[in-house]
Amino acid sequence: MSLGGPKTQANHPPPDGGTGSVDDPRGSRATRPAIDMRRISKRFQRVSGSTTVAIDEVSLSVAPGELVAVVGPSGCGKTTLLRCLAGLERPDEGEIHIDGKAVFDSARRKFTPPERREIGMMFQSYALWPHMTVAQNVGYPLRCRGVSGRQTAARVSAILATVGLAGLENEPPNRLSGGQQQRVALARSLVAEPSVVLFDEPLSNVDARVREELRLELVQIHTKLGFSGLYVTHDQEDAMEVCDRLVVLKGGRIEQIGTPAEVYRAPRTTYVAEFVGMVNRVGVSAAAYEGSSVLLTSDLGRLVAAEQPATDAADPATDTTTGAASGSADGELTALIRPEHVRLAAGQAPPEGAANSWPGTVAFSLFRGSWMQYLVRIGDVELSVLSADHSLRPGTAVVVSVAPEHVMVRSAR
Amino acid sequence: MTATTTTPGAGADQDRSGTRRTRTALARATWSGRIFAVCCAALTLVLLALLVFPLGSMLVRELDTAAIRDVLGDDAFYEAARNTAILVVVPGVFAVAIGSFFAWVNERTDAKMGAVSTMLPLAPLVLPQIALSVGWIFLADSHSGVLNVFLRSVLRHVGIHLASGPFDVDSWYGMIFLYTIVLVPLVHIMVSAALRNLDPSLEEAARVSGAPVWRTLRTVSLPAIRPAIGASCFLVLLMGVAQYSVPRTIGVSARIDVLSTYLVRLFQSFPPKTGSAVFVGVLVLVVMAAAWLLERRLTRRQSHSTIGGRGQTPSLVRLGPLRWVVRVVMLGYLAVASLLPLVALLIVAFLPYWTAHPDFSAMTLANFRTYFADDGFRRALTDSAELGAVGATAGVLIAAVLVSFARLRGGRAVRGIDMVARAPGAISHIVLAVAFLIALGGAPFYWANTLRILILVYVVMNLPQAWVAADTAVDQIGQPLTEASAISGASSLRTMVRIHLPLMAGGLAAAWAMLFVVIVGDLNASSILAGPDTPVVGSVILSIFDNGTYSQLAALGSIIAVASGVIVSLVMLLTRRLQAAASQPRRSRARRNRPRSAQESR
Repeated sequence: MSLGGPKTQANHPPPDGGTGSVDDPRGSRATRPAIDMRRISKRFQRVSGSTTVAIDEVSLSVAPGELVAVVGPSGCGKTTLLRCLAGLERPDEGEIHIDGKAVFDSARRKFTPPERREIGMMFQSYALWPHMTVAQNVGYPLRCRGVSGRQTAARVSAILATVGLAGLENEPPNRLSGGQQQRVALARSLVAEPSVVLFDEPLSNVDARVREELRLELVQIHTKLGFSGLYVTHDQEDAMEVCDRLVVLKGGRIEQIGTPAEVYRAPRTTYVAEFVGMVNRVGVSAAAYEGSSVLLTSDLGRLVAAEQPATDAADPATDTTTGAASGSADGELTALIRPEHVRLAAGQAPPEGAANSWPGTVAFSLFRGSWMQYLVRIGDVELSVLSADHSLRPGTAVVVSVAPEHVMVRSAR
Repeated sequence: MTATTTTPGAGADQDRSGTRRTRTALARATWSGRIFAVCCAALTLVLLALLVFPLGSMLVRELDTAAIRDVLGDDAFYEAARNTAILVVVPGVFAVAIGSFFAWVNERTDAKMGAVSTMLPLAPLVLPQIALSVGWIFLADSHSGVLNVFLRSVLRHVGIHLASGPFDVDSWYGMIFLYTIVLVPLVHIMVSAALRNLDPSLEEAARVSGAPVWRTLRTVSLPAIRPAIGASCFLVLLMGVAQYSVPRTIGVSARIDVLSTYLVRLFQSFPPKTGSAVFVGVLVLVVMAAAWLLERRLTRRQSHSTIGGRGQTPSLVRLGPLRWVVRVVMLGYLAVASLLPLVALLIVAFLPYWTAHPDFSAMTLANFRTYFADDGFRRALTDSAELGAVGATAGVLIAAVLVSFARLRGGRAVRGIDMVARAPGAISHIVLAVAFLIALGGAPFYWANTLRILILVYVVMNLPQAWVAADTAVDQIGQPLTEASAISGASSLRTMVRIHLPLMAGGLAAAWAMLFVVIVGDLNASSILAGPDTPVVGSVILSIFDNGTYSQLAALGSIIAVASGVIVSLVMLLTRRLQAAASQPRRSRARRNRPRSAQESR
């Protein structure tokens, strides 16, 4: 699996730091990136004395007004990356620029402490000071920046109204509900109108309903205020709904960068496909090119995969599909099929000669509201299927089919 | 790029001025942060100098081979050392067991009793140790002790006739009993703090996994708070060796000599055997340093086990009918550690003289009147109160500022400050007082016989206690609360003033009260440093103990105990009210920063 080519590009942007602004959704191509991290590395000393690499030469830029999500399982280094950006952690190597200003440069031994970085940050635990009222909490960054008392009060009221907490100025934060505390934390991170706002799993402590609400509000507030931000989360729904771009981290390195749609539709690796959305894996023993498609000998038998067109985004990190398939003959490949791309039709046998069609049996069904999730057995292989058809019962014989363009071929690892 | 350009709707002019203001404010923040750092570094160096200079000059000026030979050839030294070892180990083991048990009961079981639980570790600390010892002489003197007289009259009814006893405080048992009483609160406070910091869900997880109460305690709670227990063992050793009030009062008549009394005797003999005293002090110092290193080694590996600070209320262990037994035990402790001796003191204080069968019709205020009529005593009382207030305030402030700075700064600076602040804890208080007298008493300072030298010694001597209290208090503040302040643009100075100090207030007030009482009731430094021009309560007590009547002693003990109690209660009440007004009991929603090396680097 040749991660090398595209990855090197993703990790080493040209010196002008242009990668981030190229696919900036708001089109402000001329401006420099709001956040520009270059080849950041951070190692930690274990108690036993050995070192582990938490972040390994990560480069990432965020365009003005862009909100980028960093996702990955726990321990992938995403929180460390955010803390390095905030100045709460000092990287071992690399450079960090915020709004064009170098806040960290290992070569020049430059390190700007967090209080000088002029950023906002929303903590997972809210981190509201219990001895201050809501207004004092929210007004704190302004007071630190030398804003007068009267002006602070006005701006605090305005931002509290924006987050829907008008009138709660004098409450102690502990008297508020979890969702309200979250909003106070959000207001505090935004009140000084920082150009860069960092989010450390901000929605992980509230229940699902409140989370939905806050997510929507966050999108609206982001649209209104237009800050740039980095959003760390392990929740793929957060990442996809709130952010303009996704960065998938694995073991301290960037596995893929792209818009949520790109990453979902064209995951560069099995790891990304499995982390972003559900996916079925089908073992592949041999692969051969035939025109514009790839013929696979798989656990399902003959499997045809259409070569997927490169995505239209200029970000090179997503343009990798062919790279994966060309490493064919070694049997180290796997075919990936999203559950919603599998078609089910009642019937005993597929029509003669139809590609990617197999007879199968419904083994299990799960009601998921507007969708049904089925587990379908084809020989020894089990496929998970999302279908709008609610009528299939366990034991029903079905014909299973997948369009060749929905079969993704990736390295098995 | 500026902080405001991305905000639509803000006027351009306002933007520019706002940006400039932000710039200057942030620049000012950096400068104030730097000045703060320099001040803290300077303060640490001053503290270091206050240790190195006196101890150094003491060693250089006084230590010689003849003095060492004297000590090593003295049988009394070996006896004092042996007695000290017994009186540290036996009461120490009791104190750690009882203190930890009380802490667990009050933090984790339904036997806790509201205000009584809060008072349990504090009440014995409020009663000056000298008052405690004297109070117990009145209670359990084998002939005239109030308790003994009462018990003998009860026993006479069942046909048992005793001429003396059944208790005798002037004995090994009496000493061990009083040492234990004095040491229990230290353990209780430290272990309680650790349990409060320990995430209760760790224990709940064990319970849910099927572990009964005892097993949970043994396999989860105790291992998790091992650092606190280790630290309290060290503190017990330290305070046990430094203990002076009990051996000076009870040890004298029980003929049990310990190192602290031996040391003072060397120093106060004529001519003073200062060199020998210094050598004994150095030996104690070496033992303490070894114990300190051992304690650090044993607890460092455990340094990450107490995560928490989420402020959840733990689900309480139900003790059933046993909880009344436990409560009676706790009330019993409260009685023997503060209530009974205080009552005994008060009774004797109002009597013209102390006998086995007092004549209550002759009760009088004469004992008090002599004190308040005496200028010297009034002077001692005001001096001590002043020393206590200034010393406690200085000690707590220094500890709070340095602890906060160390936390904000992190890294190597922390370890340095931590070492300096805790170091006086390893030095016997009497040795420290001697060192200050040698270094600053004569040329070129001539500070002997001044309040200045007393206040310096008191602050240095009690800094470790203040440090531990401040450190515990800052531990309760979740790391994100501090980080959020930095992100908001606050300098380290501002974070300390606006975030750390208000959230530490409760712990600091308790530390202030403790320091105040310890300084007012101090005998160690007072016995060495208080001169004719600087009488303090401690020196007056000692001279009355040696030359006055018991009733006078009782009156003095009562005055100190009541005064300390009133002041401490006022301080605690005030802070509780302030805290209630400022924040909810739930300290912070913030989880403490996860141990980075263990989690993030996986």
